[in-house]
Amino acid sequence: MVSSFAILLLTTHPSELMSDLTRRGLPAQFAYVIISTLQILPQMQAKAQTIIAAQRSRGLDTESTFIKRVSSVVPLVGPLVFGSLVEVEERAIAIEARGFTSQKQKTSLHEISDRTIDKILRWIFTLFVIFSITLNIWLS
Amino acid sequence: MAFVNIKNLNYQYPLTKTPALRDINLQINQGEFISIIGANGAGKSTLCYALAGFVPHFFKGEFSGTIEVAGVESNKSTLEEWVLNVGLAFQNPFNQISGAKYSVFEEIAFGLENIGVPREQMKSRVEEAMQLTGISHLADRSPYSLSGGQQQRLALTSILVMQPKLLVLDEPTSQMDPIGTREVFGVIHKLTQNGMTVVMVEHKVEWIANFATRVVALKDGSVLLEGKPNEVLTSDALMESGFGVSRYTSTAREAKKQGLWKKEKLPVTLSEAAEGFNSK
Repeated sequence: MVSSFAILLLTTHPSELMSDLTRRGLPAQFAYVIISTLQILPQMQAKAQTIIAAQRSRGLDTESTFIKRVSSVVPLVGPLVFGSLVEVEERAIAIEARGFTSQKQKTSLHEISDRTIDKILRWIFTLFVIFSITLNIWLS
Repeated sequence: MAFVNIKNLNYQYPLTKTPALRDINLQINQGEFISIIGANGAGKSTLCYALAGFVPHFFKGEFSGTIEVAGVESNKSTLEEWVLNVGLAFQNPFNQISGAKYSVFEEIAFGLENIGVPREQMKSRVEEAMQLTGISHLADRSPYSLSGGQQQRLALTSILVMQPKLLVLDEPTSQMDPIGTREVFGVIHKLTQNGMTVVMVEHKVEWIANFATRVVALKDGSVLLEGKPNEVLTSDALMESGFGVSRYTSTAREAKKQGLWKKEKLPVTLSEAAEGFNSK
């Protein structure tokens, strides 16, 4: 399951995946949450590194005994969480300013071709999944 | 009838004790480049949010008065409709990137996808907007790999592609180096020459003096001064309000006291200062 997800994400461009899923009825807000999380995680990571460096330069202990390390979690996580909350508001304004909540039918920059072979493969794989589940139940 | 008409605008954010905007009255004609200045907390950003419809549609609170753009009143319209007419870009370019797109081209198209522009039109509109802001060469880059100045021009392009009638910019150059500032002002100057109406919060007084058609100074939520850039930027009232005026203005003001500055009008920019000190 995990590896099949990895294959999906490695072979399919996330923005194409999301525009196709939205076209097939996934709410745009939901697609946005998934795709922006994928993009923003590395940025969050970089920011966490900056906060760690900033707090350590002020003498925060992040490397000695277990208890000291635990007590230094708050000054590290606090700025990250509060900073992100402020950013979320700005980002919400920015995407609303670009019509994100518009009631109109959304269009997509990418044309996602759905060829006959794609359809056939989809059916084959669906049958394969059903087949393997049945086999699994039967054999157990 | 003015293109933008603000009448008796009062606004107070929820859970605050003092109003952010007090009795603002302002008319803006089509094609004007208005610059808003003022100290921190003067209400500049709130005024931008109000023009862009986020006050009162996004930020609740006590709102009274009216804002009209092209004959439509903001509180009688919805935010989705309003953003089609008024574009907003603000300080931090990083937070204006949607995070949903992997290339600059896709990022600019994001707004057009949202409002349902057909694909064929989308491509030409994105290309046109990129040419205007000079970022065509960045089309395939990731939005996150750009420099601050480039990201701000991307944010600007993403708004311009929506073809707003009024552009509201809240300190777009505040995090920018001199090169980035020049890039952004270059784009805005080009837009105003094409007839775009621009309202911009900006602290860089020399740039304002060169480009703005009118300057509005805010203090504690109300309009302190309003007029031609040189008049407002060199006025005693502005200096007394604690706003950081141009160093050339303050130098010339001191020089005038000692009789070294002969002209009536004080300078804002370096060239005005040089010219004034050279003239006999």
